[in-house]
Amino acid sequence: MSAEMSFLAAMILIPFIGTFFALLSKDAPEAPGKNAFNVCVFTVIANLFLIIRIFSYSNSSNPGYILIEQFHWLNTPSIELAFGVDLFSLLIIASLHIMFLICLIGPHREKYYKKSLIVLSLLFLSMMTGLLVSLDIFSFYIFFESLLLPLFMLIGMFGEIKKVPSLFRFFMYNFIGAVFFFVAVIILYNCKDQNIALNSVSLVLEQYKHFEVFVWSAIIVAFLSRIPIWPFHYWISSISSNIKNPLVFMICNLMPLTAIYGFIRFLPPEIPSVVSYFIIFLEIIFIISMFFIALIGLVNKDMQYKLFSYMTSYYILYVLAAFLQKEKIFLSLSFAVSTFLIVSASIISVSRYIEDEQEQKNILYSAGILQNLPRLSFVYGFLVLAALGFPVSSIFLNNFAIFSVLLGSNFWIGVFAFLSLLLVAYMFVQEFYHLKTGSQSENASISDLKAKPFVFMLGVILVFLASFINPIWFFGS
Amino acid sequence: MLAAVFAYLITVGIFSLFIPEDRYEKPASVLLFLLLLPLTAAFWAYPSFFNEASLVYPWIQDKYYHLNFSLSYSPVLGAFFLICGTLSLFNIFSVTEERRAELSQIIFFNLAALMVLCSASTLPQIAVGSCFITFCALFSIDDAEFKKKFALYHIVADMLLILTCLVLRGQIPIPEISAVFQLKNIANYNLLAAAFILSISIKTGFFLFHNGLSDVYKVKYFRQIFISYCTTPAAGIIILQKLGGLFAFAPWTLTVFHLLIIASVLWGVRGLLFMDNIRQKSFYLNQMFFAFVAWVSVAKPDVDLLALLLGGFFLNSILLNIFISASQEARVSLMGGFIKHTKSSFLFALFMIFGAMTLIIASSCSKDIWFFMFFFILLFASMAHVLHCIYFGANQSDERVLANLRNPRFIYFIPALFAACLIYKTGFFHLMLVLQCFAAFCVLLYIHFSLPSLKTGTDSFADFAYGLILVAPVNFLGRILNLTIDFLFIEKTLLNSLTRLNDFLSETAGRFNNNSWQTYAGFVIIGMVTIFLIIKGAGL
Repeated sequence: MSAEMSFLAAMILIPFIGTFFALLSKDAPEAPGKNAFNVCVFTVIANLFLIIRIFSYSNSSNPGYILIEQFHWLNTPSIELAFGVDLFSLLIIASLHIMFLICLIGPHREKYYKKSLIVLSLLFLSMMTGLLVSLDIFSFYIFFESLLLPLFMLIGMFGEIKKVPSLFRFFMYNFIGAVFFFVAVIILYNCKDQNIALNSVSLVLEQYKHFEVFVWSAIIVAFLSRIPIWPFHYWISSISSNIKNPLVFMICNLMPLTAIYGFIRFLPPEIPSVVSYFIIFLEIIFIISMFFIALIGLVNKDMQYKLFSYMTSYYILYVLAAFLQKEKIFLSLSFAVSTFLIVSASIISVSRYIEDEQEQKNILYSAGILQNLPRLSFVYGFLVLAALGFPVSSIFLNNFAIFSVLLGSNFWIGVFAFLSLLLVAYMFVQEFYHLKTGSQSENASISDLKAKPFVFMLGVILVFLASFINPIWFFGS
Repeated sequence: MLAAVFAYLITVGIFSLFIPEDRYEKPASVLLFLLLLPLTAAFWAYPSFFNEASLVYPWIQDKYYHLNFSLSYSPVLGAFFLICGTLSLFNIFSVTEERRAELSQIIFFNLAALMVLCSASTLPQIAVGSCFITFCALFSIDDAEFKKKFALYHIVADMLLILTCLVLRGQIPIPEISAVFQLKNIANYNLLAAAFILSISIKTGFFLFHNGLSDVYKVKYFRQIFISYCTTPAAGIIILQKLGGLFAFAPWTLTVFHLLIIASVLWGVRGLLFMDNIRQKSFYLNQMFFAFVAWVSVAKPDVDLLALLLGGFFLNSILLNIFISASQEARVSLMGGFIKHTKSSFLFALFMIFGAMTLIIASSCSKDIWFFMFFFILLFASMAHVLHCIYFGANQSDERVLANLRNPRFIYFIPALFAACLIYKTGFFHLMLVLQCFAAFCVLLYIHFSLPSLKTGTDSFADFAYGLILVAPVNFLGRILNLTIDFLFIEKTLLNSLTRLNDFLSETAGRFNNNSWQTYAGFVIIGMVTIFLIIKGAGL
């Protein structure tokens, strides 16, 4: 349906306008960054209200688009842009905003962020929202590439990257992907001499068979450049393991999501024969990468790498599910991905709190997280269980649906994916219980969560539990 | 009604979380016991009331996915309510327990989780129930080392169970358990069976997989009994009852399973006889007991689990009683001479043995008689030996234990009341057999008792012979097994080889994952060549 007010454009514009407000905000000397921070929180909450309003148009029994908006952009060449949201994209947009809130006001030590970080984050949020509402190849391409700008700057400024080559590779891979994608978009436009909807790419290419292999290859390469798989894995892992800031870490690790989303939107229900030929190779590479990264995460001592390993393993699982293109797991996939983002943001925020405490108090291992820090132990333990897909959030039932279809369609791929997650689970539990004894100074110990962050995290936990009890509870189906 | 009970348990559990720490511990534990008492009484007094009602909640109802969450009456819940009620009562009077309210809270949540598991008729619900029970067990552990071990083992066990459910779900149109047994054959059965056996073995604490539970004696004794009888081992048995039919798809699985059970019984006997710590004895007693229950559950899925679990609980309450008599001293199995100061406790032990025999015989002697005899004789002969050493052995108690040795307060004799009621309820089924077994038990106890008196002052020949013929070989075997299995095979070979393999793989992976541009360029070239070959293969 279409609404009188341009809800979707407003959803993209609110964070964009927020960037200017944050930029213009004055820094108070006693609390630098506080005003920009408040602007950011307000912007994200305002947009969340708008998202909730759009949810009210949804109907879970009808999985089609909830809202569609069209805009005329250029006369020559004639380009019409189309925005639209279905349950899948709206859920991910909502979880992105919640993720932002958690990274902003979660329990980590850093109270306010620098103004530049806030400005660039809001810009990224705006671009990412734009990507998730794009219905045509032009708007998709624009947002797909434009979100790299704030991302590069965020990583460069706040990523604490010491190895310039990592940053260079990051740029190089994305640049190569962008070039391929650009050429594919131009070819597609020339085929029809007009903008093309994402879900009709395969129909267009069926009529222009001579372009089919190249265009699909270009699109796949563009998306693969965003997913940390061999041989493209190193840049994102080396960058992730250096990023200390939870918000920047999460933003950096949203890159694979753009690729998953792209695969879901571009691939038709009946996978073209050209693509299906590639998919078996891709599945094998994905599974090897997943197992490999999970294994490295298990032995790597760096918590950031472990979190990267966890997120990547789940992303690859969701890409594999996206390849199935089964309508019956579409809703499960959307719920799983959206909850996964919120869980990841929560766990990175709490981990950051622990690491900050360790660094500040010069503690080698956090002493007695299990026994002496009841709040932290409860929150962290719960989040670990939720992250592993245990029955405490909607991830469990949705992963159950995804895995049962995956195992039914390709048993060994499913088994290896599950084993990789088992390794990730082992890694997380090992890390959780690793933090038990031994500190440089005798009396040093990390402090338990204070009342405010604890209550905030309890709120997040309640949302997870509610989503477990009724995985589609907020639609009242 | 069941829905109301479930909601009640969860609600009380949640509200009890708000009890301030280190304050109102005792009143809170009394209150929580009083809140549990009517429910336990109702479960026993009016089971038909619960039997009539069941709940079906449409958990997911969308176009493609239908999943119901159901709650239905299961008789075994009566055993859990009784055990939890008793432990909740004991918890009030505990002198060592620092966090009484916490244990009582967990008991409420755990009962709710057990209801979920016992009522499960769908695969996801089995996984949910099992995971919830693991969480409750995890939160009830008050020892950091054991908690770590438990988490590592049992989270893996739960994930393997989820894998089993997932593989099954992929082959059936609806997630109902009944649909699994309508399949003519199961694809990829071997992997599924391996995952299932592994999961059950870890949960139930079978030999070779008992490390996740073996340190349970490090927690407080009430918590130990709670973990042993109301959490993961019991969950393993319930899952086995529901999915044990999977063994019918290939005979090798049942053979492997039976071998594990026999090994567990033998390992349990070894521990029960030769561990000095009475709480470790309790763990080994439960290991052999749950191995037996697992055998019976597969052979006879409609076995009376309630009677079996309560039989095991009664045997544990004997050891608990001795532990409390000796003022919480665990290393009492060789002290001897307890009969002089704790006669009531001894009578209690005899009665509980009788009760356990009655329940075990009534529930499980009708099938697989050879295994039943094998287990039954080993269990009660070992118990006779343990009780003989404690009550009638030469007095070697230290002064502290001797000075405080007295019968426990009356509250700890309450299980005898339950035993009496249950004996009455079973209707003296196989009474003659029970009496004969009990007489044999008493004779065994008496022989040990009487022989030293033949030669007072010196070691009797019987003791010497007993030691030489029975104890020394078993001890030797135990030592050899301990060295070969625990130390050499598990510790040095299995665990070390896993670590080494892991190190090797990660080191190899690390070589590919380094930051040198040569390696990197090399792999990019290989990647490009691969992509080129794939594209060429596509016919470009």
